[in-house]
Amino acid sequence: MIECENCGTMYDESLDHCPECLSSVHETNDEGEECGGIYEPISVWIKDKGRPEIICRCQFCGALKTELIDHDDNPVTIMSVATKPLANPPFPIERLQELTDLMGGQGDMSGYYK
Amino acid sequence: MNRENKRRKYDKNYYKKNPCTDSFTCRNCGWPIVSNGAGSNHRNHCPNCLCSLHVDETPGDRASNCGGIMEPIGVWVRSDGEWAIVHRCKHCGKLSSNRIAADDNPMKLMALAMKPVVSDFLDKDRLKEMLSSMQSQGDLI
Repeated sequence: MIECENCGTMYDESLDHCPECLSSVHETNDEGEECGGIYEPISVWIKDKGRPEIICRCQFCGALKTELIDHDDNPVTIMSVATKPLANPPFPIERLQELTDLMGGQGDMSGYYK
Repeated sequence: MNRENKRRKYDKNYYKKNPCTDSFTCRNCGWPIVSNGAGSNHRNHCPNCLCSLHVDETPGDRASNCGGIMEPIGVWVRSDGEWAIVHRCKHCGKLSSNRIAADDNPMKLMALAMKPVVSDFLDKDRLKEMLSSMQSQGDLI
């Protein structure tokens, strides 16, 4: 059992990231030097026909890597990582309706809770 | 050969110091791309399909021998609240992250952000069970 550097959860050594906060430690970088930064999860993607992977980024040096999502990983954390961009959109979300109209789409964004 | 062209050809770090203002067509979707309009001097990806090319190892060095198409696989929010696209090379699998530009296709960006949310890789029943054990009204359907 090892302790997670980020959140303090005890987890098995065989796992490649903490099942609760999905972070791990960046041992060595490309040049073989020690880094020691914490890999934080930044996004989720799905390889075609494959299993979903989390994209991790080292907080210290900015290196990126992908890791397969385990069965025991906390689904609430995965969901929160996946929905983070939606909570912080770069353009006004109320203008999206105009865009879908322009494209001739049928996406009506008003009245979901009617 | 004029002096600027000569520098561009022989100076290995030319594009680290100088912006590239050439027009080109996207190798993935064929969209004609001009350099201005990105909101920055360094355009990284096609504004239509958000694909990029693997030409750099570190920004501007043109040192990569791969040259594969880098497809957008996800977006993430940087600490200053700005979106960045995560690219992955189709050929060699290298990952890189880049800021979104001013003229990027907003629907494509939204589609990229929605992709993991709408896919069914998460066990909805387990998520619901977890949320209900937190004493909330965790009804996801």
